[in-house]
Amino acid sequence: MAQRFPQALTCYVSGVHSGPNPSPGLGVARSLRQAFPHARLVAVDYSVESSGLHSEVFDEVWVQRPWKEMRLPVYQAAIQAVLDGGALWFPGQDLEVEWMAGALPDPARAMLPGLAALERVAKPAIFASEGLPVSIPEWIGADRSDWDLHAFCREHGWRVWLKGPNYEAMKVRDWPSFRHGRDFLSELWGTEQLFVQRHVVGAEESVAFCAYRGELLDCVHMTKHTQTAEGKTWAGAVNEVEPGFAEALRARIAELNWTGGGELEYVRALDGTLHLIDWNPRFPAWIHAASFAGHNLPALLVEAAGMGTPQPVPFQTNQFTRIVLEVPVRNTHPLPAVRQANDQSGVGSKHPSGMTELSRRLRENRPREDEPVRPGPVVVPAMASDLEEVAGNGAATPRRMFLPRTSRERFAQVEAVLDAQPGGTVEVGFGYSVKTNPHPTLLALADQAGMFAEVISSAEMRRALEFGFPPERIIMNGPASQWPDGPGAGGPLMAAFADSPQAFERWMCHGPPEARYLGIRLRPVTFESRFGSGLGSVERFAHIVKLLKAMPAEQEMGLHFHFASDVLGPARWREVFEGVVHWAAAIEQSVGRGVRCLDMGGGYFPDDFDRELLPRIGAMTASASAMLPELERFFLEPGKAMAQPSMALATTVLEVRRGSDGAVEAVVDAAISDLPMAPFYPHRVYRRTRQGEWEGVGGGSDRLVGRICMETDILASDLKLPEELKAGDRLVIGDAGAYDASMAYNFGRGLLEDACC
Amino acid sequence: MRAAEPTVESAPWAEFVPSVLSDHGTECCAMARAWYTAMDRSMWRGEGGPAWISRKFPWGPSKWPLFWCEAMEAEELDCGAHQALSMEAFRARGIRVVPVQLVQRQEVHHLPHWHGRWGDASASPAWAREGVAYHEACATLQEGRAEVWDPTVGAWLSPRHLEGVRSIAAVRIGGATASDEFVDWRGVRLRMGVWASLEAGGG
Repeated sequence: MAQRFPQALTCYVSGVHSGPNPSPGLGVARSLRQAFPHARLVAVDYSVESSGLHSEVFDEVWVQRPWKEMRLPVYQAAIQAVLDGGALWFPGQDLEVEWMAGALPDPARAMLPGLAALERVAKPAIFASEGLPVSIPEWIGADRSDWDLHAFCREHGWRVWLKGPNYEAMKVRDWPSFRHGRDFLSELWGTEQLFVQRHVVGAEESVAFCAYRGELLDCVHMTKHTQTAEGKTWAGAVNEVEPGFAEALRARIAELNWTGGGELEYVRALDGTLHLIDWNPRFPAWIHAASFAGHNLPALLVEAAGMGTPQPVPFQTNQFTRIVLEVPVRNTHPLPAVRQANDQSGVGSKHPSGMTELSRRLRENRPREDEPVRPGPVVVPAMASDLEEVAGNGAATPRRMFLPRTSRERFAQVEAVLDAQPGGTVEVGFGYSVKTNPHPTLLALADQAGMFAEVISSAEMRRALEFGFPPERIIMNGPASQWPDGPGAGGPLMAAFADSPQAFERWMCHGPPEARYLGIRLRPVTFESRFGSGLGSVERFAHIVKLLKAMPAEQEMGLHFHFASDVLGPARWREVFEGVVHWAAAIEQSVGRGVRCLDMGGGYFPDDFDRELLPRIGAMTASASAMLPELERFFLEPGKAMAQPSMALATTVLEVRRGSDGAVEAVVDAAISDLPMAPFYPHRVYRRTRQGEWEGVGGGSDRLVGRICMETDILASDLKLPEELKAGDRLVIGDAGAYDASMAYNFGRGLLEDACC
Repeated sequence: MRAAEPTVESAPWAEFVPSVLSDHGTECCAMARAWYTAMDRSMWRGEGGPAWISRKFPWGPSKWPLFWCEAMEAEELDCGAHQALSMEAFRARGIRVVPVQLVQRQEVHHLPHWHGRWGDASASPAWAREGVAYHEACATLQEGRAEVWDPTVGAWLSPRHLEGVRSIAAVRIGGATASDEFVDWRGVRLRMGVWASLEAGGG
């Protein structure tokens, strides 16, 4: 190869892959080439599949063994020799920076920050951001209890990210996806050090900078205009950094004594606030776009290191986009052979940087700790008393147990709110959802607390009547509310809501249920639901208005909206509630008749009901009555919030399987058929210690598997089972009183449903 | 290929007034407005502009005068309708908002496509000329500062977009009546109700 580097500048640039998720090396090299046309540029990477190795911008390539198999001391010595020979090193991978900062005895010519600085910029806390005009989005370590993690996800409306310690983030939408992500990322990165962070809605921006021995040399701001499906930059605009931000960054860089490139990634929320997601210890992959805009940051590092004066950078444009180009493969580094199609190893789908492998290597060198145990649930006094009374008596298992004190406490809360009448002139009522658990004791508690019975069928209505609810304390809704045929209520119900325009139309033709308030269920407009009447077009809205207008003049009108709060999280549910109130006002105005009754629900997680809904009922009622001046009744249906904690499932350990790797699997006599909601939210598990105390079982990676021959019969996969657990021991699975009870089914007991013929 | 640099004076839209939806004063339009208000409230997340409007009603020809009941049943709406609806949405949020009229540079060869599409819909293509187009948006005003929301794109505009396709050649904030009030749009001082040509370096 012709020598085009008569002068002494040699730059090793690592991390040169160029794909949809590119490393920065190629951009760094292009900027160096622009500023130092005669420099010798050497591409470094850890896989022959790194595509940037074949770029003509490089004079040489230096492909290393993959991190997984590399002898780190050998590589460390080789890098040191390169640096001692006068070359500069521009690292392009986060973990490579971390390793080099710790491994190199004299990293002076390596453009990277020191270990102390790296600790200060580590996620998720990013302590170094103090003083910058950014905040860190709320986060929680994944080492917290499942109960806390589930609460965090609900609090943020299931708009959260599960993140690895370095990079890799997975969007979490529900508890099953959280559990899957936790298992996947722990396995991938070889660590339990994950965290969950709330998603911030806004524009993604970043600030790239370069600094030498604590002096900020330059910085630029970039706004992403388009992104790949992975959220990586594809096109953007580079501009000056806001002066206040730049000055604060200068101070932080000085404190950190930073050397090298860096990037702060943040989200600009709709209200203009900045939320820092990441502080990368290397240049971003788009860094050459900054050179187009007149800011050649890699070249400034060369100059600061005393290795030459860069050629002036002409300003071309401040906007950039990426394109896909085919380039000739270097003869010296041909492509690997085509893999056989049924080879599942999928090397080609992995990022060639091998960062996950380096992560494992780095963690191997640290002191090993036992598998961390996430805290178990606290046994509150009512639960301790209940467990002592109902679970300690040696009765046969599996057995669902009613927890009397826990249940009474829940219903007493509702009673207290009703006594306080927080709605002022609007009468507040609570509906007990019979479908969550029609157990006689729970129905009796609901009745005693002054609740209404919310029923979704005639069968449930008759059950409520049988257990003492008069017709005027029954609210009917659901897609088949009048199924099956049979005796009626014997008097007017409190309210009845049709699930669809067709159902309401049928009511108008053939006679509606006799009810004080009659109305229709509204379907949400911002997310999918199979229930209710759609409002997504003015035609549908007009149709609903027409139907409601057709009600007899003396009939009082009500509206109904239900969507599970634990799916949306209580904050988003309240947003939806506000929207529904506006829809009710629009309907009231268009129908020309007041909305007298509003029935809202449901599916509240018990903790959210206690902490988020109950204290806000007064404000919610006031908000509704301000928009709906004729409102006289406001019903809230807490759904499973009442029943879920009221029962537990006692089970006996049949067998304990301990693997050589320490994994524990306990087979119990309960099954997924006894606990059908097991995958969908955390269930607290309790056991009695040898000292006779009840304690919560902590979190880990041990499994509790059921008795039946179904692959899905896994009751828990994230427990830390006690060392002394043995066959015959008894465990109690809490939070099993709602759909776990009402949706439980017979399986593997030699039973068949009676109705089968 | 691009036509000569447009000037406001040379275009017919210098005299255009911002679009306003008409109301039949009967139940049809009352119901359409009620639906729109509730829909916008459901879509609002407390901050930002009403980006849902152009997703629900993608950009396309509208025939004017356009009534509320027609607009809410339309499959497409033009930028004037988007502007009028966005104004309504911002007002409902208690935000002071005024119409914005823009002249934007466009590709010369797009003109026959637009004329054909608008002609097929029996809508007026007067907004489009060779290399330029008239466009409507709206501006939120707070303490003398304006932010311009382009409801058709669902984005906040910058007065520094002065070159290339969709760049801003001229702007009038606040409608067709000249006012003594000035506003600052990201460093560009503009008199309300008066057309201003934007030039590189002017901001």
